[in-house]
Amino acid sequence: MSLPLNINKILALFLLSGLSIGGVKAQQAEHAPLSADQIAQEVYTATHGGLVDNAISRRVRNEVALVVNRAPLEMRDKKRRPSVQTFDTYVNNTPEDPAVESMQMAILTSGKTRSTGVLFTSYNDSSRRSVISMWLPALRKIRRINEPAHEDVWFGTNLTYGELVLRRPEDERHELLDEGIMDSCLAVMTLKPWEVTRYTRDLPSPQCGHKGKPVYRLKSTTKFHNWWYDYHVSDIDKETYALYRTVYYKGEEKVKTVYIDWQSLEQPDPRITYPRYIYAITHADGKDSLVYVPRNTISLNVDLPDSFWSEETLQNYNRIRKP
Amino acid sequence: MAKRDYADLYARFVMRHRWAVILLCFVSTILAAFYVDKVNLRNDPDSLLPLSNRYIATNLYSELTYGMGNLMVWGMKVKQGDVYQPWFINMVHQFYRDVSALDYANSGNFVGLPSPMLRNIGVDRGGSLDFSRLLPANGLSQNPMEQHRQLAYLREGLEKHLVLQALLLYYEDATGSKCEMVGPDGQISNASMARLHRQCRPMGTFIIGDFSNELKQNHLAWIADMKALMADYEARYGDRVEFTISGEPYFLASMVQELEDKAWLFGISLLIILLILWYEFRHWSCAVLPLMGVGMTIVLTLGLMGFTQFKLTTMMALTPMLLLAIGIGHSMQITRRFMQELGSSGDAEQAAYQSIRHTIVPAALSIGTDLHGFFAISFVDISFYKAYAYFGIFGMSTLILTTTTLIPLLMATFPPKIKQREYERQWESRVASGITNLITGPFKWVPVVTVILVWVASAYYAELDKGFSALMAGEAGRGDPEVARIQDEFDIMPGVEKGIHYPRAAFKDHYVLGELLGRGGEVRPIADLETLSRLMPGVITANLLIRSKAGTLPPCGLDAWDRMGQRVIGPDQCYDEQEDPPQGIFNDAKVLNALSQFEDWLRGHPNIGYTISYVQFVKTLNMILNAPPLESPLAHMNLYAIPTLDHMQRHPYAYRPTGNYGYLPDPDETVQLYNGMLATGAGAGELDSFVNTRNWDEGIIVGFVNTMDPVETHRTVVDIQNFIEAHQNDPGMDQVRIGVAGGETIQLPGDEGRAITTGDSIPGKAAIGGFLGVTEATRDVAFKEWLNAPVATSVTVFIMTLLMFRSWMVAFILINLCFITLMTQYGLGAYMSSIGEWSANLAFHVQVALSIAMGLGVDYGVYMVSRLREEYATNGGVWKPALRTTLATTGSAIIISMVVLLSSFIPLMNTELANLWSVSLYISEALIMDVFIALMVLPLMVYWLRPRFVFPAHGVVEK
Repeated sequence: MSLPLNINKILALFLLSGLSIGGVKAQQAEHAPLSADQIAQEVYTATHGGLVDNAISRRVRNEVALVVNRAPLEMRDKKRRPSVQTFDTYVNNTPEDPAVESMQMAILTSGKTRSTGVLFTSYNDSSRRSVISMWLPALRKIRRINEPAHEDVWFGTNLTYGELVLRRPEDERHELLDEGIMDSCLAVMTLKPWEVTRYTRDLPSPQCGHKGKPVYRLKSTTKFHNWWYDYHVSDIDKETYALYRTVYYKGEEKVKTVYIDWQSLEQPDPRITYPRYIYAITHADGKDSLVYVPRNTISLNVDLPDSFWSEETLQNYNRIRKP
Repeated sequence: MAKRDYADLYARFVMRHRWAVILLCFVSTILAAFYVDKVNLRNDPDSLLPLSNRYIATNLYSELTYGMGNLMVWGMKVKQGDVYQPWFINMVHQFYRDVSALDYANSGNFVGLPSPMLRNIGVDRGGSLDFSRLLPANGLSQNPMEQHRQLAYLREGLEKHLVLQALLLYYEDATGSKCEMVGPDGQISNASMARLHRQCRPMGTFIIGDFSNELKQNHLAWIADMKALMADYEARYGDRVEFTISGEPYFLASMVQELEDKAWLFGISLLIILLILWYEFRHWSCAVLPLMGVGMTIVLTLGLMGFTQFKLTTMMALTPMLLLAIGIGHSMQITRRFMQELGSSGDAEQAAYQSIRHTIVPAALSIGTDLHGFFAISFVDISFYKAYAYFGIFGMSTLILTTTTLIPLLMATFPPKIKQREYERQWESRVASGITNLITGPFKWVPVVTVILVWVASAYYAELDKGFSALMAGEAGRGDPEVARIQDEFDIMPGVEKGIHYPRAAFKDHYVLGELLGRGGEVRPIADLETLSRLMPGVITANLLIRSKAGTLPPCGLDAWDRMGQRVIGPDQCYDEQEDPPQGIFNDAKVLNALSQFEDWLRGHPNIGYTISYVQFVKTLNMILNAPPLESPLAHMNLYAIPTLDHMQRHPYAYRPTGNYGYLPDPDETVQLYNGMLATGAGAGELDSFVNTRNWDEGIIVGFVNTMDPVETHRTVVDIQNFIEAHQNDPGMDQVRIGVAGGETIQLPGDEGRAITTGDSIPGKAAIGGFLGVTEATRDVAFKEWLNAPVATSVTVFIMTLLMFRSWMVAFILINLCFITLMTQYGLGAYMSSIGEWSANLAFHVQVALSIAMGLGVDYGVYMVSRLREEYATNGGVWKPALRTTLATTGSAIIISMVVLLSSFIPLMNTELANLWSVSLYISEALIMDVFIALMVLPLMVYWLRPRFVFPAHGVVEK
């Protein structure tokens, strides 16, 4: 019996911090080998840092960022298609208010929640909780909600906020297992013919471009008691610290695998990358999720006023969609 | 003459090929033995009843669509204090993790205090909505201060939780009585919540778990793990916590395990039979070989069960015992005859030949009658009736070979040494003389009057007069609902409850053997269930399947757009979830509001403790999102509603946006937004326990019913059906249909190509799923069969006896005597109903005993009439000595058969299982009546009515 009154999931689903445009701050000394903790810190920086003032992902003709969620294997049949949600996002890494670390805005652009928007404001003071404002178009209301927890899942996917945003290197003990090369392609959601719709017919194929790249294999053991995983093993690009593959274990059992296809944005600074797709599969039931951001939807350092990241924009997004 | 020739030919044939026959029997038995352990004892009630029944079809459809087919409940009640004690919450947390990790657990569907879906519904100090988990994912902190804060947060959050509080917490007042969250009007209000929290304290909590159907394949291993886990927690916390457990998987697996645990009782039964046979024949070979012959039949039958993989229930334990009982009867006949012949001739070969020759015809006729009885019940659309019939027919057929043929062949091979006439016993002649004197003397009316009194008492308890009166009342009497019901259901015996109390039909509430063994007489599954029934809102579910009348458009395929992105198949022909206006009744505020009102009514019903449905999530979300900022949503429970225009106009303060006081949200757009938020937030498939997110056009309301009393469950069903009928044209309700309709063909979800077409019993009544629906379906089936099956068996038996005796009078006498026994069985059912003994009312599974008893009863009649005719001729047409000899021979054999049969019921009657006990009880009662009638009433009827078969018109018949 499922009683999915997980309102936190419902409301906090719109937080898109996990899709930040990443970039590496070169902290690595020339020849000194890095410790496991240092590698973990580099990865965190790579996936959470911001080397651009702002970044947006917005529908361009038929291309749009989307999240695809597929039900557990047991529930799938020819009448069930994966759920699809399209969205636009706006990330501001250089807000004028010095107290504010970043502002992120996400607006859903399809389905029943079309025009629903979220403004996520995080502060430099880590003791200050982030503020999340949500625009509910049918009610014409803004509601504020609290910050999600580590274990809350993001956007109905099988990715947690802990994985995407909240988990910090010090939450785990790290151990460098070995160094090697990426030995396989990055998996991606493969749909059955009857699952394909016009929104999912152009999903990416498995990414083999990273195969053969030198990687660190880092084992990270959680410090949380009774947690949903005991440890995870990650394949990390030795050059860019891009996290290609993470396998979670509970005991000896493989729980979940997450693949991220980090791609260059062809910027002068090669460290500026973005996650073209994130694919996560839960091994126990086969439930999988895909977040896909087409390159054409991304623009960097767009000339937008700071005031654009506001509740007013959420309310009037449809009218001011072309800033 | 022809018969004798066939018998002679057969006897000569098997004697000539003696070793081939013996070898055939042994080899086939050994082969069959390899399949015995493959018997598919699933004990699955879902496969018991016909899928064409609307309730079963509704239940199956809802289980396949929404899950919740294998629910388990664990209860934990503290003996002192309340649930908010760190050690208790830690224990619950660990227990939750352990049961979620059991094999076949759908852990995502588990609900309990540690469940991730148990969230706060409130605002934090900053005014933001706070939906944090009430219990941290990794349990309570080790830090006492932090632990204290977490417990306070849990308490506060639970006390505000409208959806799960009633399901997960048990409140008790100072007098030890249960406190309810829902008010007397079925509504949750500030007043009902305040009363709950001021006057009562939470003493217990529950974990509700869901398991996959694979469990049914491996239930014994699963129940062993489950019991080990429970035992571990009881050992560690039993002094502080009262643990209870219930649920369909637990019940069903416990039943199979109980059969295994009490297998030694079968050994005792065999030993008793062995001793009886030894007493009767005073030779071990005469005791062992009959048992071996019957044992072969049992192994062959069990082997066939294993080979065919027929889905069986614990009720099938009756089959080997019946084969044993009936087979022993035939074994005794052949063994007795062999010994007689051996005593006369002293030649074992000749004795074997003669005994086969003389016994094969009556044995074949008797078995043939039984086969027709089984054949008749094979047409009943209940799987275990069919299993009884198929395997009964097979097993009975083999008896010809394994008893009547094999036993004399073996005895000829290993002949016993006997003394003169040692096969006769003095008690037989004493009993025969006593009965003969009684029914030929002045007290001959005593047995007749006894039978009449028993019949009248049966009719009185069965309320036969009330039934007939109601039927006679015609249209004029239909103003009385009970009269209308009796007419609709042709219930001529309203005193006999045909409905079922499933748990009590499965298990006794008390068993004597447990006390004798010093383990106490309490039956744990029933004791736990009764405890949970008191603590929880209800332990059986009523699933109300909600579907639209109109249906929805199919989803658009890839061909709906060209490569340029232009729509080429319009929204009038296919539906695009991303672009088109939402479709489906669950996107319509009017429908949701109607369902909300329906649910309120359900909650107000005295037999429904609580309900959950998708509507509640919409109502909760509405309350959360529209309560004024900085105020607790729970302070605005008036907003716990579907946002219809009427509702919003009555509570404009919550819905009019600041600065736009003329605006009220569109109800449909609002619920569509909520649906989108819930669907996106819950993740793919997670909401599907309550609403079909593939089309948003169907869903389910789950009610928790607080009674299992068959009378009350039926009343609940009728009340729900009446409500639906009365409100079928209300706004919103006019768009929905509830349950699967009669005559409807439904495609089973997840089972491509499998469709079911339902029948109908009483048109116009909505079908309900869940265990309440299964209970009602069982009643439905019982009402269909409680007269039909015995009538079908009667017709078969009548035709068989008519053909056998070529006498209308004999057939008439025999069938009428069977009807007397049948009436006493109805009387037994009525008596059990009158005292509320729901392990033994005339539920559908018990009804199989009616046909079996009828077959046994007519067997005795056949033997008696045949022998009376023979002895009447032998004694030169003098009745009294003919009767005495008949009673001394056939009569005594009947008495021994009865004793053997009753002995074989020892294991069936002394387990904790009520189904085997009740069927055994009915057969035993019928058996005693059959024997009484066969020995004391049948001879009188024959004597008074003088059928020509026994009393020929022109003198005595040839011997």
